[in-house]
Amino acid sequence: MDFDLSIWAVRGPYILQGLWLTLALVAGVLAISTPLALAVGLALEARSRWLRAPATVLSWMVRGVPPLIILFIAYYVLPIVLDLRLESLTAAIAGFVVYNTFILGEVVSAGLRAVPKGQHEAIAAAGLPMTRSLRRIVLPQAMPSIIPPYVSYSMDMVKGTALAGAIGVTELVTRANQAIVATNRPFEILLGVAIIYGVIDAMLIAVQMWSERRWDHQGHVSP
Amino acid sequence: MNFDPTLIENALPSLLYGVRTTIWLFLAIMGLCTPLALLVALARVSRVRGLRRAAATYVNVIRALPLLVILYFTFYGLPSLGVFVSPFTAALVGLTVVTTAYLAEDLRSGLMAVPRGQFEAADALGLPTWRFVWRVLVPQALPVMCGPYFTRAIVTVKATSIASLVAVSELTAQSMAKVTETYRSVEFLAFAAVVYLLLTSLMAILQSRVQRRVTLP
Amino acid sequence: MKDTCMTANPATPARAHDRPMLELVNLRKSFGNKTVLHGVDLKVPAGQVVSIIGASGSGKSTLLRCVNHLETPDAGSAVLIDGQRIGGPDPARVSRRDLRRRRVEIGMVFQHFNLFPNMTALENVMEAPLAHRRGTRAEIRDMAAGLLDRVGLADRMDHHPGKLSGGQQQRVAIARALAMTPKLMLFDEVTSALDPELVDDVLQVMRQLAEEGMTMLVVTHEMAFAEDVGDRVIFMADGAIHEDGTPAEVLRNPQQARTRSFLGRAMRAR
Repeated sequence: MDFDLSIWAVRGPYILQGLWLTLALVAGVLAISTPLALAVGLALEARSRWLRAPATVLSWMVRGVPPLIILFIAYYVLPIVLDLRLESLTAAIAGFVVYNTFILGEVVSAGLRAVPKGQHEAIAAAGLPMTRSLRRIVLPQAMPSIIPPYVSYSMDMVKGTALAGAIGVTELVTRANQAIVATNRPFEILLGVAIIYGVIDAMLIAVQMWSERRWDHQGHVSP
Repeated sequence: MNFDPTLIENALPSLLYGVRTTIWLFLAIMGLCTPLALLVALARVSRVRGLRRAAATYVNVIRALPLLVILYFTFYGLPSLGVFVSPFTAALVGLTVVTTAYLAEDLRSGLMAVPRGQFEAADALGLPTWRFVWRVLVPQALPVMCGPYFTRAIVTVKATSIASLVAVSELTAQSMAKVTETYRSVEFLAFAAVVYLLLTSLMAILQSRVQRRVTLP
Repeated sequence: MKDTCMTANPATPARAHDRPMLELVNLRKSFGNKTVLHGVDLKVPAGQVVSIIGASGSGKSTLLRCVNHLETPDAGSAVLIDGQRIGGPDPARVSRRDLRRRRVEIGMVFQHFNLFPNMTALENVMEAPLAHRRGTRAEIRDMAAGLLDRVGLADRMDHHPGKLSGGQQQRVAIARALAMTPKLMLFDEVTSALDPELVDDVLQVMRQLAEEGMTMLVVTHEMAFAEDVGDRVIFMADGAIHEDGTPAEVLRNPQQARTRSFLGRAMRAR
């Protein structure tokens, strides 16, 4: 088998344009789903059954279905329900946001559960208002257990965007696939793509290490 | 929006074929990657540095890549190496390679939960490595491994849907074929979603059952 | 079987030759650039009970762990059991197979017992002989049951460690170490993790073992045990042996100031 990376000189620019779409997709989805995930996480841990029950059922449904199916639902069914045309990219963002919100929602809820019960009681006893106690006391303590899985699910998210090609978003992997079909050079092209993902992964690991150190200082509760 | 159940009824044979393929694919992956992942996890905690390094490299490289990229490797790459296999086999190989890497990491945390003293006691008694692994290490790690194992199984059920993108006629592919054929999406996507939900929920129920049972005496 | 001896083999008769059961030659150990043992030399004749005392961090546990290579001694060190050297000139290059064979001759009991929690007391004792095919399953079972009987746990054989008290677990651990008919027994602070009222049962078993002629290396804080049972006491500090003599010499009439101050503190603590 001959191995010829010069194929990237021809196909490279087209494939790499997909990288921006990948990164834009990740950034958009994380920006929207992070606050939503916080809301879902709080709802999952809410005292009111009327908040908890629907959040729990929705989370079970969304997390029990493959993200690819959710993308297809966003692309094919959502326009019928909303009665409007949806671009591939919009549908992909919508689908990933739904999936990611509930995945991260569970992370937030687990982080909230990790805060010692006594803290909640202390807050109740001090009569602190709900939002203030959340922002100042509960969340900072939950952060050390939220951040690592949050970053690791964000990595999954980066890799997961490859699925968007299935509904016509020409991101990185989709373009690589097109190039493979056109040139019949799978190894050269996939190796290049693998290196790109490897670099992204390494950068995210660096972010993870940095954020863990940061939150360990600020959110650490001494025994 | 209307929902026409007779559409599903008419397409049932081909949809059920997809369900069967999904279940077979899932079972084959888990059957292959369970022993493989255990070996990789053991290599990760091995005393032999070369073994540790090799296992760590495998796990980290695979986990950095999108599943779809690895499926393209096996789907396009194997034939171009002269290995002509069915799409099912190509997907099975790719999914096994990936699931093994993730599962090995899950199982490793179980192995690491076994206290150092157990390793030292086995050393002091001169227990051969494999006897220690099967009689002491794995039995003690098992309760810790169970939860992550089934969580990984649930992820794997969902991951099999990606095989539809490399020409495997599993549940997602069969449902989407019907969508294209009939121009009706709601019914078939609902069918697929419900089946996946059933499968993942079954795994979740199994998980809580097994976890309640497997505890140290 | 019951009344003969505690070890599964007949008691080793006093040997005619002078070869020590354990010999340490220039035993050195460092972790990174911190040296824990500064070339210790020691000869222990068969049947001798040696108590090793000293403050924490003095290197006494490391010394014990180097004997069966749980810690690999530095190059230049040598450990000889019954005249046979463990491995070749470089302790780091001992094959695991060779190491296993030599370790079987050395029984070790740990501070935290380290019993296998997934096995019953009997299975714990049977495990090593089974692994080394020391007989049929039935023979090994009888031998293990005999050992558990001797440590006073005949009625606890089918209990898992989690259902036993600390003292009982430690006695199972002693039986487990004896099951391979070792020539030498190492005890690493075996009573330190026990509630005070459970200590005596364990010491009783060790006393009996000493009377039967077992060669024993005992790292301990139990000065009374060192005095009553030990033939010899070694005081360690800063990774070296500072005093070595009979219990009366070392404990009652220490030659060095640091031994005196250590003993003063140890006695007060009691």
